[in-house]
Amino acid sequence: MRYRVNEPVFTSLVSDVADLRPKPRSLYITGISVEERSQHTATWEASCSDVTFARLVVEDAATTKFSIGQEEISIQLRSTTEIGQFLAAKPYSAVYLDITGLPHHVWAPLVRAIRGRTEPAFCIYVEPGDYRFSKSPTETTVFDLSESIQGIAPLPGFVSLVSAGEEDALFVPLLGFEGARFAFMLETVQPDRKHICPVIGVPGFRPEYPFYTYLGNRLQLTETRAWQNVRFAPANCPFSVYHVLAELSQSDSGRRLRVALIGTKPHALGAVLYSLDHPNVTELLYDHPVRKAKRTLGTSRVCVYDLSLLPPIRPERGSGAA
Amino acid sequence: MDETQRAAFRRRFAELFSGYRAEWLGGEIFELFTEPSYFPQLTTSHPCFLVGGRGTGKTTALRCLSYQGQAALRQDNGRNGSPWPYVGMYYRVNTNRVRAFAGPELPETTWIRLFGHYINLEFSELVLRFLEWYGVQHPDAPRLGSDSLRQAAVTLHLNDVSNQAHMIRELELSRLRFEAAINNVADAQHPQLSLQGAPIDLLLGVVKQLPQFMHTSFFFLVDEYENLDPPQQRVLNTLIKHCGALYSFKVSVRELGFTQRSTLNEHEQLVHPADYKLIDITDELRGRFTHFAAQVCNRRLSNALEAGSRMPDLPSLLPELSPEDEALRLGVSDAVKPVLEGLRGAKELGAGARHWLRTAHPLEVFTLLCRAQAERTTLSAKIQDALQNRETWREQYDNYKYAYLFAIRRSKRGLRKHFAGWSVFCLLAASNIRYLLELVDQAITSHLDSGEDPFTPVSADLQTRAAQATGQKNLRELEGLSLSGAKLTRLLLGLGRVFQVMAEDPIGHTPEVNQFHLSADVVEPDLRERVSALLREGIMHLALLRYPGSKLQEQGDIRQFDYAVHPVFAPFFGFSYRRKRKIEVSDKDLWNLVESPSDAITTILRRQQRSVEEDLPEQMKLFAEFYALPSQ
Repeated sequence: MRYRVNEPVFTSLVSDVADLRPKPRSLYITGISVEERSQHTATWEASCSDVTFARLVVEDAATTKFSIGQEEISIQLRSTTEIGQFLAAKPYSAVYLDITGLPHHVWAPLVRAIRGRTEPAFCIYVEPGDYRFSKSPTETTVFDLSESIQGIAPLPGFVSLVSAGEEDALFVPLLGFEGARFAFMLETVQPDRKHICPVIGVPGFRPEYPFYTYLGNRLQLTETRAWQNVRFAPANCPFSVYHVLAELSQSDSGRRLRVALIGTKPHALGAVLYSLDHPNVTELLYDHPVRKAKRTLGTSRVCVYDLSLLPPIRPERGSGAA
Repeated sequence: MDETQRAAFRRRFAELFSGYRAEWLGGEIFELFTEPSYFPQLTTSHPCFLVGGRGTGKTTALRCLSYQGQAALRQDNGRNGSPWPYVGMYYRVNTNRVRAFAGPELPETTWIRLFGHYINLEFSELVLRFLEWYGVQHPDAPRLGSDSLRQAAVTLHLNDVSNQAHMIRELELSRLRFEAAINNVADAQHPQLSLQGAPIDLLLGVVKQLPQFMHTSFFFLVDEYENLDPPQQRVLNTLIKHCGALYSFKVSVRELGFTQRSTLNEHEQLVHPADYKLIDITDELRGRFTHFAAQVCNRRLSNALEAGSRMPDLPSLLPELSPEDEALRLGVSDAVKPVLEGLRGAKELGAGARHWLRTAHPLEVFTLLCRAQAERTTLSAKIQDALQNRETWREQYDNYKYAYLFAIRRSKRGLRKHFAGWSVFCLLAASNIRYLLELVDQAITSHLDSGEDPFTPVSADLQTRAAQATGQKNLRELEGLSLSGAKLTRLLLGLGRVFQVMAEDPIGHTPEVNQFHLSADVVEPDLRERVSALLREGIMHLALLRYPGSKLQEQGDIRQFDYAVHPVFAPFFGFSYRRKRKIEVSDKDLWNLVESPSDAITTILRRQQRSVEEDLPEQMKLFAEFYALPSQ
């Protein structure tokens, strides 16, 4: 458990998805994935007629298309200009980015753009009711989550070409249940095993989940001895991950961090937010998994992350300002 | 060794032997370096491609070739005034960065120019970082003048620079601007780009005019070349083709990772040996691996011991079993006992035959029994035949005895076959030093854990269990090694079961079958493509080994390959690690082993006149659910 007085957390929890109400005249960006929980807006959006819904229609590695009413808007993900125009199409009272059903490579560049804007901004995340157990569990696969991975490639707008300090960088895997993804990261990144500091979601969405995380990653944690350096952050709290990363970097006079996003989406969001504030010492690593259909069951709590309460972002690398 | 010393040794041993990855050894990588026989070839000025699987020591070789490595190996931190014959600058291809130079936003030609500029930035910085380091070691040595630096800076479109440190800062800023442009590549605000290789030529041209480097060769040590996509490989190939006398390249690449031979000029190829020397680690270590591996292990063992301690030769701690000794441990005497008792009163056998039966080794009797069954004759007839044709029998015994060891404890609980001995471990590792270190680590660690003295030989049982554990560990890791890791694991589990059942049921069949080749008929081109891609991945990640086949295909001179499950997995499944005979499988067989393993295993085994009803060996029961999976 990590909640400290000097580490503010800007999360509000809504226990029933039906109770979620965006501000009037706001923009609500969402996408429906293979998971049931991503469809939660259907239960309440009829009562929010003054909210503009932008729904993900189609996406690939480089572009995404949203529908707003009858209109479809295509955006190149490696274009600050196009994303900016999309967000500034109307004077919205607030922007809600529902990351539940959006893939990382779509929501991460949107978060980057939103952090540079002035209107109130929120990220929404709906916790799953449960994960689907694998029919043939192995030591590294307890749940049936990913079909395959497409390989490590930077998230749009988040490539880091700075190589100084790479040799001594701290590798910080934000762990999930899938040990194979951790193994793949280790194989590709090849960190010094003395410089591995995993983060595990404690408390998890459910009390037993941290144990599954240990179970799924046991082989790698043992072989690298990284179990000795594990840090904890609530599985649904991006701000706690932000603080953990800050602590890790500062504990060794601004050591460079290479953060692997293989755990929960809120943890990935925390790493993205940290990277935006500390671009020169952070490299995000993502393996682009192909999600399995029906990987989760049901819905649980809704987390509302208020990004506008974060300090203003410094001129960031990705925007073109060096 | 008292308890404290023992605990310290245990800890230090685990640290050194479980640090089988170069990146895990930190600074000790240089201290523990054992020069492989091919190393001198890397120190010549000719470009080299060092080809080998994961864990064959490519990174270690390059890191030791680097100026940091050489400084450590010379034990003077580079301060000795004698000129450096070569300076290696290590560069690992970072997948997370190079993948940024692709996408539908730009045409391939533009990506190539952008990537070429990125490489110029990277390699120029490597040179400047070396000069910075050298300047610290040799504060009085001449440095690059501001005019020379300005010239180099202009080629990279840097602001005016006054000294090396200034140029490094400008380079960092330029890199940040470039990064921002790549992050917003669809906004079409491209930075000024440098000409492919021009800044590196200019920079090293002026560096080589410094008196201390006039006779020094400069090498770019490019590790993990396979992480580059094909157009990026062509960019590197162009630099390699035209690197001239100023600098050279030493490139490490996994087998099958060198996919492009052409340069940016599609009519120009990198040609071996004119343009580069190909060093295949497996070929280079063939016949020398046992000696090399002993040197590596003994060096680590000596580091694990306190100075002045008596040090045994590590191979002597891993004794081997002869087939006859192994057979006795497997209980061959019990297996032949009823047969011998049955023959005691057999009137058709003469006194000579009875005497021979009494004195022969039980494994020989067992082999005789198996051969009688295989040849569908009576044991008495086979004994008489063996006695009449002793030389022929001796030859037959030598040919079959190893294969029949697998049948002694067929379907029984406990260890069914031993895998013990230094030379056996070397064969299991198949020239892969990482696998060998893992095997030794597992064996010695379990020996210590069982309370044994560190310097007494490890029992055959413990060695076997260590070999099984090593195979199992690598099998479990396979899933995370590559994009097709899950498919490769399933393929390996399928092939492993097929060869295990065949090994335990050798009577009347070709012995020691542990390889396969693909049938020549291509029924479905799409399926052949998928299977070829999977086999390629299997080879790159050492799930499989391939050997040039005996046949030549009709078209061109492309040779057909024979494939084998990597021998490190043999103890886990329980089949022979020796490269012997092969079966033919179709594309469909292989793909079905991945998609519906249970059916595919049955189909292949039936074709080999084997039954799949055999019990799983103890160590494979972990995967019982996998083998019971219904068709998908």
